Amino acid sequence: MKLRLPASFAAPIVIILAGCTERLPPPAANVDSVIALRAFSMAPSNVASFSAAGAALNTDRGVSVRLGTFTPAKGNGWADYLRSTFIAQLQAVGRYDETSPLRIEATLTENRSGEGFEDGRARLGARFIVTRDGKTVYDKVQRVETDWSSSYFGFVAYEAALRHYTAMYPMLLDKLFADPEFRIAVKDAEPVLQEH
Amino acid sequence: MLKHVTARARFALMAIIAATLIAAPANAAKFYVSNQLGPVKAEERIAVATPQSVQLLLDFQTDGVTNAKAVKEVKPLVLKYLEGTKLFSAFTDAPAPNGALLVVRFNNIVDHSAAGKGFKAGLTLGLAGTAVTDNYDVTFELSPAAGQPPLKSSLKHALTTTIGKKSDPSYGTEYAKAKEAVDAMVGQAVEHGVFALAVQDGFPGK
Repeated sequence: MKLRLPASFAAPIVIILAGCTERLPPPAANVDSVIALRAFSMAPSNVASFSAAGAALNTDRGVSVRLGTFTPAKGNGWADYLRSTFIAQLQAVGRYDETSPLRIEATLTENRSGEGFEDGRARLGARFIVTRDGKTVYDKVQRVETDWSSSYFGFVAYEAALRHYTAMYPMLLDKLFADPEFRIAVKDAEPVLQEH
Repeated sequence: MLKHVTARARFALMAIIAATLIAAPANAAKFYVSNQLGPVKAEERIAVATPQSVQLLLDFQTDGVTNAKAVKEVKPLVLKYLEGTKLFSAFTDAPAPNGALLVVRFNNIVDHSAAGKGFKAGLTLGLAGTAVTDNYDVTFELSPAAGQPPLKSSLKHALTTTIGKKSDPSYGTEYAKAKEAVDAMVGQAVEHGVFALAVQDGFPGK
């Protein structure tokens, strides 16, 4: 008898047994975010600079779970990942415009992930600033947290942490999109109705 | 590819490896796709008069939480089978001109005992055979145009991985490779799901 191991299983095994770093693919459009954005009329927006500050600086390059570490694309931090996530959502609804006078900036203020043998927990927070023609129209901190059942098995714990941690990024944006103050700040100009 | 799709199968296999440190032989894994759906019958493959373009959004979840890596891996398969239906003229990532939006969501319901089963199989060098089933809830929502209520369909499918067991057709149709089984599972789910949308009033292009 011979153990036949699919080649596709090799990468995660290496990660778990050798303690390697796994780079995540670029974020894609998230179903719930896109549906939320389609529900109100957002002006085309420019997603400008995103950075990390304070405690979030310490974890901006990677998150470790047991012997594995996952990171965003090469050379980028989690603040860049949040920005890419934002852009992916706006592109999916045709509302991303690098030339728009409506600029969205953010500073990652909280970025933590930890897990024990039974439970995992992660937190993500960011200060979002929206300016329109240079004038600040929104300045607010949004944060989300998530908990999950972890496992004694390292590879199970790693995958669960990765899944729940990355899911926080669209979750944070969904919370922003649901904020009535944000919706007012980024609202598209109403078309002027002409009477004939 | 597909390493994130058959999560339980992977957990079980990795548990075997962890237990045996890859030094001991074990029975090969076998993969089965449930026969509950099967291929779409020819008479069920309806056609539309003027297929329209649609924006495609795919979500692949594990226990209700988006699995970002799996989304990337499964999307080419979903596209391949959607294109094969000929129900749409094109699939876009950006909004379609008519505002049509198709949301396909796979939710993999986890068997949380999978890792333990795999570990046991590994410790006994495969003599303690085990079977782990990945169950999938799959939903389809098609908004024919912006602001219109969506057409909906849903179904269930399953993929079973056995380790240390002889072939057992009761699990479904056997495939030699995980990749082939996932391809079949995704294809059957996608085709059944969208043709169930196509028979409904309001499907674009009918």
